[in-house]
Amino acid sequence: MIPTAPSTPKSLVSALEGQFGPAHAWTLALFALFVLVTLVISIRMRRTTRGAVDYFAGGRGFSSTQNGLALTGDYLSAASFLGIAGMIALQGYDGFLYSIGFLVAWLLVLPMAQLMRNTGRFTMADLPAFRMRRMRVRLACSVSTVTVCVFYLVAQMVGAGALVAVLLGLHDGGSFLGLGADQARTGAIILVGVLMIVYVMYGGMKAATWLQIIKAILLLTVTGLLTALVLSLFSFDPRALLGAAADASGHGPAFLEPGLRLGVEVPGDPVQTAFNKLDLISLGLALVLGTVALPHILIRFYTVPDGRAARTSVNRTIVMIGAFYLMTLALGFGAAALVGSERILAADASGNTAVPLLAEQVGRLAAGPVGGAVMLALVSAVALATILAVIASLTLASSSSIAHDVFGHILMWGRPRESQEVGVARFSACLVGAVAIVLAVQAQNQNVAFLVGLAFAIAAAANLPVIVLTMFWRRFNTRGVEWGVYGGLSATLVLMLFSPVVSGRIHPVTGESMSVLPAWIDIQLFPMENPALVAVPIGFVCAIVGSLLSPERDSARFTELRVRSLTGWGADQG
Amino acid sequence: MVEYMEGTYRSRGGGPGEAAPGEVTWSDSVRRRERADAAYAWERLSVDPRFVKLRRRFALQVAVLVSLFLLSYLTYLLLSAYARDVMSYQVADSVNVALLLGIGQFLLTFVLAWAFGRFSARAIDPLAAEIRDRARNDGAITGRVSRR
Repeated sequence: MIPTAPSTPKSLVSALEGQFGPAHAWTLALFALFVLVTLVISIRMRRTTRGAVDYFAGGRGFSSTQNGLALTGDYLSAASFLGIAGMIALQGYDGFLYSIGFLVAWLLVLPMAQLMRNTGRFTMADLPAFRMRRMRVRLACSVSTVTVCVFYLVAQMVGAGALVAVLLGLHDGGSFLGLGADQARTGAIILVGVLMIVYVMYGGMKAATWLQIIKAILLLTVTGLLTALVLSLFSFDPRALLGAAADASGHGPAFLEPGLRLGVEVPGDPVQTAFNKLDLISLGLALVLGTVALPHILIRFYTVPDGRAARTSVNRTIVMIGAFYLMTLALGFGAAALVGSERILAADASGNTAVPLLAEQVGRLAAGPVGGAVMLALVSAVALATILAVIASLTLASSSSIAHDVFGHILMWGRPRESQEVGVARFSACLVGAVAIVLAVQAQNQNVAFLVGLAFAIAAAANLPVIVLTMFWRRFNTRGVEWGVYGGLSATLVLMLFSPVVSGRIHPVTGESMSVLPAWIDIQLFPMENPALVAVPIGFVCAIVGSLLSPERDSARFTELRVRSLTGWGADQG
Repeated sequence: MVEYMEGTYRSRGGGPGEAAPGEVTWSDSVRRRERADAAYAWERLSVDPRFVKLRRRFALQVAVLVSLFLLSYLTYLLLSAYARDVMSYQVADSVNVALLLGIGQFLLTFVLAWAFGRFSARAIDPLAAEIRDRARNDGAITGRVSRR
């Protein structure tokens, strides 16, 4: 028998659609358990965190398997777990395009990992600063690191708030312990924000790494369990699953083909169609090129003993991430087939609750209402843990950059005491966390999903040219770094400001704005939602032109960098 | 001297705006000679035939990886955008070309990553270790200079 979704009897109404119940209590209990365990680990790690190497780079003592798991944990944010599966559930194949981009990007990380490990100490800025006049280079890198991290942080925290509101069944007027949806959202944002500050301030990189490892294991286990349950319902025949998903979606075979969301063909409007297709390619590039230059991923390579371990850890990561994204395919199509798009849309328009709903449905089909509640609680708790772990890493990346680059090398002229630098890192973690909490609370009613894409685009346009040219171009210099970072950063921001994401997209039927700004403001000039296709070349051109316009060159340092990066000479000395 | 600083010789009299404050104990000429010695040592190491071989192998490896990656991924993206009829061709009931190509991207990623790791372990790592050992034995680049 192949179960299909559709008309749910009244008695089977999901816990997500009703009042506070045992599933919610279990979710909170499991999440509290996760927080408790990781806090205990943080406290233990605090005892072994003594100097800057311990705080910023986890003592460089993690094995490649541990670091591979931590990278997996860092990378798989809630956008991957809930967002992609939800997108597949609602728009079919196009969600899978994100999975593919997010995975294949790691092939580009592979050759960079070893070079990064061999030449840097704590932050991305170490790399160009190795070759050039240090202060201005460090300032530029720090600006782009903090910008990327804060955008990403705000998106994740707003996501956490929305998720909690939905998980507690508050999205349409319910209440929990007397709290409305808004208060619950604010409370959730502040709670995860404070927790993330505690982890980072207290335990530094060691605590963050263990947090990621635990989270990655939990996430992979739960996803695997859920996938196995979904496939077992279709007697492990993927074709049956796909067929059922296509039937239940109401789109037919088109559900399994590209084109429902990305690169949409607008009949009678060839210009718009062309831009939509370019947009798809732009998105594909942003996913791939942004991943290589995400600051919180880059600093992970400093936590292993040598370049070889850094490379091996990327290989481990590729296996785990690949397995995960293949499973999201089953989850997304499973949700489309078993839950149905109406119920997913009713719970949350962006599809973020597809996986929790699927978990409940599958659990119920396997073991009755109790099974449903258990699975829902498990998946929800893991989703919250996912968000918490990712934002902790982002905070760590930006506070490292502030402490090591801005404080250590700019304010203290490159010779701070270690204890000072670590102290400043703790303080700036608090500062960054506070700023992110305030921004996220302010933005909690906005649709901020685009901020994740913006963070990737900035990483691709501002950080990537600097990293690549530092490694491979002898003539690259200080002005090149500055022009590359500021040029790429501002190009991305400006293009985003004038894109349909910010203004000018109006719902054809209701006339309401589907963009960030209200409908009466229309400053849309740039036709694509993803600026990477234009912004990344701008970043590279700025970096190259800037370099050529400045007479500065230091061939000797480039030679040294090249020998060090390839042989690993000197990298083993802390 | 604080061990924590980056490149000892660099921080003595660095570029404009970041000259080391105070504690100038060595004369300018000694400092300059020291820097020139270090630069010479790195330069010599970089033209060592073994290092040139290492560099060539790494460049080849990266070039192969990146070009295969770009070829497959861009083909996939362009097909998704512009060849919808190819992508929607159904191979076996609900399994269409789009899905097979997508899974193919996953498999190719696994294979390329595995091949990269294997080639590195066999052809790159031993050579790099050899160069490191020799440089250490020669003492051409002293531990003090290379400490970061």
